[in-house]
Amino acid sequence: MVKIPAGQLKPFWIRPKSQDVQPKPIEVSAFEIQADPVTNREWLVFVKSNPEWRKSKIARVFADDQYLKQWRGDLVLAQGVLEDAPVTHVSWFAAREYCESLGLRLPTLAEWEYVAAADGQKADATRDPIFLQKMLDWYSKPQDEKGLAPVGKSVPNFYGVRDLHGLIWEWVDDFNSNMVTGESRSGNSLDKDLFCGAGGMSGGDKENYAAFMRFAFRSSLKAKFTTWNLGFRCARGGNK
Amino acid sequence: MIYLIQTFLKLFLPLVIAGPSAPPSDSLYHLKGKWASTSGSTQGLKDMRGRPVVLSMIYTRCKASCPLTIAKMKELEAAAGKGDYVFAMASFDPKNDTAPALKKYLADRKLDPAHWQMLSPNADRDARELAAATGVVYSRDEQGEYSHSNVVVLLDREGVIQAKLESLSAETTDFVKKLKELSRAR
Repeated sequence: MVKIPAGQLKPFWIRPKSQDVQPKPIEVSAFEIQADPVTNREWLVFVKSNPEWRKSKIARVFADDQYLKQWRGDLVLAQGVLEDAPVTHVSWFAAREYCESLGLRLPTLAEWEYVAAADGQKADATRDPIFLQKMLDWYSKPQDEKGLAPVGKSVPNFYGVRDLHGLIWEWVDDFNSNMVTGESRSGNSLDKDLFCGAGGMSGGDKENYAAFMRFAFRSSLKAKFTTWNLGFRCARGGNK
Repeated sequence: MIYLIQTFLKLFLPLVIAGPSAPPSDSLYHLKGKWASTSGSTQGLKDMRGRPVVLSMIYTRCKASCPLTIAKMKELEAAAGKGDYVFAMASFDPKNDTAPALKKYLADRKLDPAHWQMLSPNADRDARELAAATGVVYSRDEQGEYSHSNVVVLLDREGVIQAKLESLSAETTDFVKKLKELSRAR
């Protein structure tokens, strides 16, 4: 596990009320996070001891029918799928259970974004045009569902954490914590009856397109959802 | 003779004393969260199995939309008519919304415990799990106030979601129809 020192995260998803009033930064307590996403190899160890999470046995309330699609059987990967590739086609429930089985937990959204703000040289690279361009390059490249690369091959970031960008999307514990105003996809205007509390949010930091993409992606997720490029890693400690 | 009796017991006793079968694969009663109910149950969620359930998530310190959620649920109760339904409200807030606090909340609003229950989460993770399973979006700020969506789900007697209101202004006709169907089916 990599130790991450305490710090602050600018909540890019909150629109500032005016130019001079910035939203209050989020305090992130010191915590620890895995250096790499969880792999197929590690998932195999998990399902060997936890048969109810196997592909053929999982309850439908916990995962959709694409669960472990890249596995040929309960304990066998499909042809061409690497043991050290990140495990994907896992739902939030399954990811959570895995972490808990090891006395760990999923990182919070704030923790994940905080660690992911770093490049190789500094803790906060979110204003660095080179860093931002790298993100956009990843998102603009068509991805291949077959053959996810093994974990741990990318350059570690400032903290020593790898693969936060360029490999997979990752589950966080509170993925379902962002309020979105009028989903443009559904064509609704803001429905005030939907939300209690502050309600209105939008991408406040227009330059950080990548973070906005993640924000939008997370808000489209359902807990039982699985897909080929969505995996996770575990964390512990902090004030979660 | 003894041998025959022993064999008979070995074969049939397990069948006789076996508990109820597992709920369907997509039932919420597979969730692992710990909930204390105002009904006195320490397995508040699972112990609603056997009755149709109208379920929402609120917290008692909520001044804005939560009273409206209760009003909506009372509206559904009136529309549904007689039945063995449970109108259940699960809290986001393990710290303040203990089972005794929730019992008082129900009593203050004169909600009949024969049909109304409130569920207290053991910890944040239990509330997060139920929200995830029912499609509720929420977060907590530093002051302990929750921002949350107002979803109401209908569970059949086996805990499977059969209908859903995505907001307090959503059309309730289909929901009420299903609710009535569930009270007849056994």
